[in-house]
Amino acid sequence: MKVLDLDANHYTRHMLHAEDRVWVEKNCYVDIWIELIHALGCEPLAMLPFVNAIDFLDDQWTFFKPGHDELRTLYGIDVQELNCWRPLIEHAEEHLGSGRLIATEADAWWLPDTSGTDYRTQHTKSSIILNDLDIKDRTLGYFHNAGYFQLDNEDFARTFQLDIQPRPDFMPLYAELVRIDGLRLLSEAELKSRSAGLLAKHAAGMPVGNPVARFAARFQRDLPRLQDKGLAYYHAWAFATVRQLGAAAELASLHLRWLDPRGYEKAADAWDRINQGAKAFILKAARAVNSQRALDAAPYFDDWSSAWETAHTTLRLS
Amino acid sequence: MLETRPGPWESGGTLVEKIQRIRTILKQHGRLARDAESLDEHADLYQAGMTSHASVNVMLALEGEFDVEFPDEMLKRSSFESIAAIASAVESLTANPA
Repeated sequence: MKVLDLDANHYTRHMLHAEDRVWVEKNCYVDIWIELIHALGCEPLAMLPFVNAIDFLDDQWTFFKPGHDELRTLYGIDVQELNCWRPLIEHAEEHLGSGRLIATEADAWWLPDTSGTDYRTQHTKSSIILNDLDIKDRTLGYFHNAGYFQLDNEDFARTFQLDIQPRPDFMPLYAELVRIDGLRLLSEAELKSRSAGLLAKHAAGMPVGNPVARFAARFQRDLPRLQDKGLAYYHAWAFATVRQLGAAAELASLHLRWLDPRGYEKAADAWDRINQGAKAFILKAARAVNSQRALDAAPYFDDWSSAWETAHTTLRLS
Repeated sequence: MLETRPGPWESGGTLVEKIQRIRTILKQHGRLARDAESLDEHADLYQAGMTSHASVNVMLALEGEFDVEFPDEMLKRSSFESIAAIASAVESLTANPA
């Protein structure tokens, strides 16, 4: 049973996940929504205003996500938590058979599209959307990260906790039901109008104090610990910090240029400075961690701080 | 620290030698879905399975192998998108060391 008729071997990604993006993958939850909305024939750029409100909270930048109310406003998609009172595969059979998708956390160890990172290497929680389930042949078509993929055999069994002894300490992963029976394709003008409304809301919700300045101060304190703990720890830190900031900045810039390229040029350019700088910084900081050398991060942080102020001021006044 | 192969080569060498050393690094650190030894020099490494995560390790290994430091303007995704792009960057740095 399948909700959308998709072929993992011939799936075309949305431009937000094109190979020439600075950050092809953003975070796992945003990524699956970008591709699902794209596969539904809608424009995911419209949902992105929330990235402008990204904030730094001590050990991480906020893990930006679309609000469920905003998905309903823009696309007519309804998201509810799935009450996992029985095995996930039984829920999947029931709901996919009724035209509802399931977004669920999964263990990337069993997701073959992550062969460059976690597949059969590391147990990592990640979000996927179940779309095409064949229980007899044990195959699953699923959205994950920047695309649409298929898994089978042992990966299928372990994703659904099959063929193993029941464990008394097993806790089901968080999952959501995605209803698309109210899906609506708005005109581009109406979609942009609603997206502009969300932009005003999230611009008003941007942090009061400059979050880049707080991040800069924290980084100076954290660098010795990063150097002490090494590259594996650094990669986890970088994903929670620089990568989230950079990816949010790229999405913010692309959204503003879609919404009104001339009207938001200044703010889009400001976000782009952060986007480009973050990519270089993630490599420079890796070098400092690997070599145990000092890193003068001030030029980066000063530039981002100024760029964030520009984006903040421009968006709040527009 | 990231372990890099203690190569017997100098930073110089012919372009063919450099490309072979780049292939070896990609094999060790690129986590490609395809064999780095037979990959076309212009093939897109990201499409061949190299993640952003892996590209960080590739960059560090390249700097160790060739005793160079990529300047800020080269610290971007496109600098590491193919064997040819990496070779070009390494060539420019070993020909004109900072």
